[in-house]
Amino acid sequence: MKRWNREKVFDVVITVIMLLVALAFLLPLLNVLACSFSSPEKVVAGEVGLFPVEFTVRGYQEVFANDSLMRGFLNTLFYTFLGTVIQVTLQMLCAYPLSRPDFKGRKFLNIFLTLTMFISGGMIPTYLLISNLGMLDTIWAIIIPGCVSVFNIIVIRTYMQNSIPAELQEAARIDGCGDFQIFLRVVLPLCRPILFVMVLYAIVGYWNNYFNALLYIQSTDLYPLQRVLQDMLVTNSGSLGAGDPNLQEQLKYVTIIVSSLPLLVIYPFFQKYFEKGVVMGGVKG
Amino acid sequence: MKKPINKGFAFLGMAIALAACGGGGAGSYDPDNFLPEGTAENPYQIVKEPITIKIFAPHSSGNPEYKDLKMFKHLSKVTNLKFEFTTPDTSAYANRRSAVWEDRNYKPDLFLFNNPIAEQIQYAENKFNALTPFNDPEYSDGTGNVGSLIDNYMPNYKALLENNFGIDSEKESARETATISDGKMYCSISAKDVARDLTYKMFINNVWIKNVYTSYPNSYCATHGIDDASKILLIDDYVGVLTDFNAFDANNNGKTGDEIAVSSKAFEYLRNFILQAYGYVSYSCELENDGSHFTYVPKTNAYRNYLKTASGMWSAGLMDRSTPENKTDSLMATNGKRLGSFVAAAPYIITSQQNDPNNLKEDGTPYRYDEEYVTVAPLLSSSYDGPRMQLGFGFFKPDGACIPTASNYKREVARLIDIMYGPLGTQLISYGVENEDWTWDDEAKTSWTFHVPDTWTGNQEEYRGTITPNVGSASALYWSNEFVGKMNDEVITRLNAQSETYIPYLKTPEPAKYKFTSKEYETISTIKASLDNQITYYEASFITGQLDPNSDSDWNDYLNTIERFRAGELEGLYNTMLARYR
Amino acid sequence: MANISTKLSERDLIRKPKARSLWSKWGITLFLMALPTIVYVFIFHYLPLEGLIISFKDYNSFQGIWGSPWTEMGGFKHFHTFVTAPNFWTLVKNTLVLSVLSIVFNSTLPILYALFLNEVRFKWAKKTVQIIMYAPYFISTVVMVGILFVLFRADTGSITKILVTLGFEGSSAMSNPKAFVAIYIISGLWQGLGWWSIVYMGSLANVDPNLHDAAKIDGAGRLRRIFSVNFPSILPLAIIMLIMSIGNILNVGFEKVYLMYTPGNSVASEIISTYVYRISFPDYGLPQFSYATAIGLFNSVINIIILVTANFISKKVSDNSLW
Repeated sequence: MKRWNREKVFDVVITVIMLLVALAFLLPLLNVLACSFSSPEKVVAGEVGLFPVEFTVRGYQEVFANDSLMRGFLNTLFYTFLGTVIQVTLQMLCAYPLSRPDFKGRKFLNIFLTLTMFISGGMIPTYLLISNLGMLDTIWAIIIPGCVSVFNIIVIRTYMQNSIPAELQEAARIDGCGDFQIFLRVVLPLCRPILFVMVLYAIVGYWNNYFNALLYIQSTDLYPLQRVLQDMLVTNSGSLGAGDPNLQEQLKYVTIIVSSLPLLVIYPFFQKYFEKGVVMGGVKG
Repeated sequence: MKKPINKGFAFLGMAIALAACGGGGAGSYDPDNFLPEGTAENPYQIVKEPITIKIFAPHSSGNPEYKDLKMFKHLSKVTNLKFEFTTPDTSAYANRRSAVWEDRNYKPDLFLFNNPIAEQIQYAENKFNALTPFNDPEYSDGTGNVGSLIDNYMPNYKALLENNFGIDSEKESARETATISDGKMYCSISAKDVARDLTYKMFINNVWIKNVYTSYPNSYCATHGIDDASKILLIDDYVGVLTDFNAFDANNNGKTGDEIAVSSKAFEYLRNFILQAYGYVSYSCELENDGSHFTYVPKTNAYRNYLKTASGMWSAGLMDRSTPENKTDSLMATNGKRLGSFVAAAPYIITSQQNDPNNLKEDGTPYRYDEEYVTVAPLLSSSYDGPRMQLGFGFFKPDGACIPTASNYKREVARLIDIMYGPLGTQLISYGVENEDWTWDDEAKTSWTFHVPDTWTGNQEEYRGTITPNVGSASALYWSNEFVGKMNDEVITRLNAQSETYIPYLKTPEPAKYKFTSKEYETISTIKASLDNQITYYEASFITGQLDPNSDSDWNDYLNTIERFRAGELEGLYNTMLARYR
Repeated sequence: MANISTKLSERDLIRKPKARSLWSKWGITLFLMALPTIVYVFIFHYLPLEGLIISFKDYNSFQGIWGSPWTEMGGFKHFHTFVTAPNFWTLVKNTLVLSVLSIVFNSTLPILYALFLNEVRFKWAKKTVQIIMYAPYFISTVVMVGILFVLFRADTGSITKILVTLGFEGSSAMSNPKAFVAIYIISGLWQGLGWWSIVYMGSLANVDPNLHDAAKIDGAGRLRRIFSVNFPSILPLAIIMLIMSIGNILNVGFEKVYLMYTPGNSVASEIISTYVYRISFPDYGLPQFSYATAIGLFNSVINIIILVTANFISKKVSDNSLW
């Protein structure tokens, strides 16, 4: 009986501790959220804690009326959509042959891909290549470099090998399906979990990417959201709230919330998939 | 080596091919389309049929897109040229600018504003033939003989060069500034002679000084007879006044200690001001007053004195704690701070043009703009009593406009640049179109008035930002006192008058006529890439109290470190360069 | 790296397909499916290797990669310049400090966190904790650093205010080189702790319940069982993860460091990769592509050496290795 009680106490204690840890992790975000709804003067005076002071949505109105921010938003939406489609398609298409033991170039392809995880040209050689390809200052410089992740391909391949019964593919083949049809009709539907994970990865990757834009993009009208944010939040050269220094500071909180919200809203829906997917990647090493 | 790459390129498919738009349009130059003199009814017209000129220029978010700026809309209308702009943000401009040469598709016709001199020298020395010389009578390209652009197509600019933009050529020579060692000019000059834009300005709250002087007999002001900013002569006086601001209720709101004595955008701006009381104006290599040699300022005793003064100000709580982070002027004013003293382009940026209700004149009216904040003239100190000096930006910079050789439209662009140096251009880039944005006040054209529409909600500068890139994005090619100085505007006129204080003392630490070789530039750039970090770090450490500038061991450690980071070599490079000019 | 596949492939080979088109037989379809990626990888991962040549040259854009002149010292001038540069050791030190500390904290704390979270028996609580802890991972680096700048704003930033009550200076910690490493590591953990633990949570779910029962019979309490049953079972995975991160020891994330850079903290925040960027696209002077590439190459070579060594040691000591 005594032992049982100790177990119970342990359960409660550990739960409380972990909830407190989670709460602590949430605090900075709550503070930013509260500031985004508070009056600029109170924010700058540092008087806002976890609840808005002098509640206002003026910041949000300003942010949504800001051209460069909204253009960045739309650009990013477009890049994310296009990039995700290209990235996921290429990766799935390539992972499938790799998962097939009877694919002739498999060994070579494996080495060909894995090597790239250890050697790379580095920033400048890649930059020179992008410029030679004529991609500087085009949307392709944002979408293409870093589009295919060899690591992801290996994760998908492993998933295909482990979770799709070879018998199913065999049966389809006997029914007269070609390789591509097997992929489309048998493999892909069964790959749903890993597909979702890859879509999520791609969305997060493109939504949050600013390095490509930093390096390859000159024209402000091609700027993705993160590049616009860099100017506003980090280098302070943004145009928000011009003239009113307090508003300018407070709008930073609003932009933080507005720009992060899309991902923060969608990730819970992917949770059960990415938990699975990351485990898969980890096991693979 | 381009071929295998291009084959790979083909695999990527149509998409990228489509994106790789806009080639140079080479080989299609039509000489008859060009109008060297304009037409009878429109002297500004450059081409008969419109052509597109690709312009690369810096952009700050204070401006709308270049294509929407009134200046360029108007230029396009009168010249019949079309413009296509690529405009990286000012914060990344220098590196985006140098990256243009790597771009295989984008070949601009004009680099407008902020062109690096190091590039002009490197490309000329190595004969890369990348930039078009402005004064080479032999020059020709695929479109035939171009000749000297200045002589053939740039009458305004030529005249300005000849009379040195009306500035005493003993002080600074435009021609020498523009010319590099091969005797050619690859870039036009950016010139300015408007007092308020020739230096940084230190403002101090004169009302606070009077408050302290009259109400507190023990104050530094009262005991030293400082009842007006003009009585501040030594750096010690300045610090004394700031101490008063802190110790007494200088802002007259009934509370002591809520005054912030001084703030600045980074230490940099305060540094210049304090340092000049000890005999230098900059924090890199600086030419001595007699022109004999360059000295690396951070290793001098003057610099140490600056650190001592600044760290004293910091530890006494005179300096705004956000000084190292203020990245813009307006950030100094967050949280409604009323500042005793600051370095900024103009006080109205800090005060948001609001009156201080606690400080009114005897008749109950607020103090006038230039009565509240006044400029502090350059100071001396107990350890330096040489000539007063003030950091000067210089009248000329070899960074105005460059024409890449890849452009087919050199003649057209040259004329366009020339228009920007003429009366129309100087008006456009400063305050816009005559009779639309501003009008002459009288027949004799002695002054003019700028019109901000009633519907405009922001301030005047923000409105000017919709007209010209001169607000935040770039300096004008010619920011001319001849026109700008005649503006009929109380705030601006007073600001100009206040800035006049500094004009007699201006000193340019690195005169623009001195130029390095490209090897030297490369070494300097490598040295500065790491040395400057050390200087910044030590400066902050000394000021904020992690290190003590009064301690000889701290100071010697610092000297050894910067020496290890090649400070001596840097100084040597400057003096080697200087020797070539003697 | 591919030993999981072997079991399946044998089974596959036993059942030979009956009828196949020529395309399928020769694997042409499969090849075509992989082709876009092959081309992609060739172009964007292998072609840039050609550009490494410029680290032995004085590159300029007018003569191109092959036309630019070779440097003095038989092509090794830039390498020599780098290793003799006054900031060489500072860069190496900054890079190592950041990466070693990152590795230490980022590979231990998520394990600890996973071990404890695994003990939470109330499903709702576990779910709540997890979903909250994932959130920071979805915040971009730019926004993350933006948050740091506002929270650490001088005098009135929320964290600065707390620090001031604790007796620190009111100036922003973002321009204090001494605070830089701590801010970097802690904010990194804030973003990644929940996410990095996923893989361990997955592994913990597969721990054999019999092991726990056996330990219970031996009288082991909950805490004891965590460290004598659960911990050993995820150790091999942890070691593999560790080797992976050691292999990237000099590849500290460029983005965050670059964004957190302020003139004030530059002595601590200048690392090899940000330095490469800064001399490639300088604010002062001309780009030095060759020098930058040489530093990058130097960096990669050291990385590979460290990876191979780490793998070798791990193989000897613990039988866990990447290959």
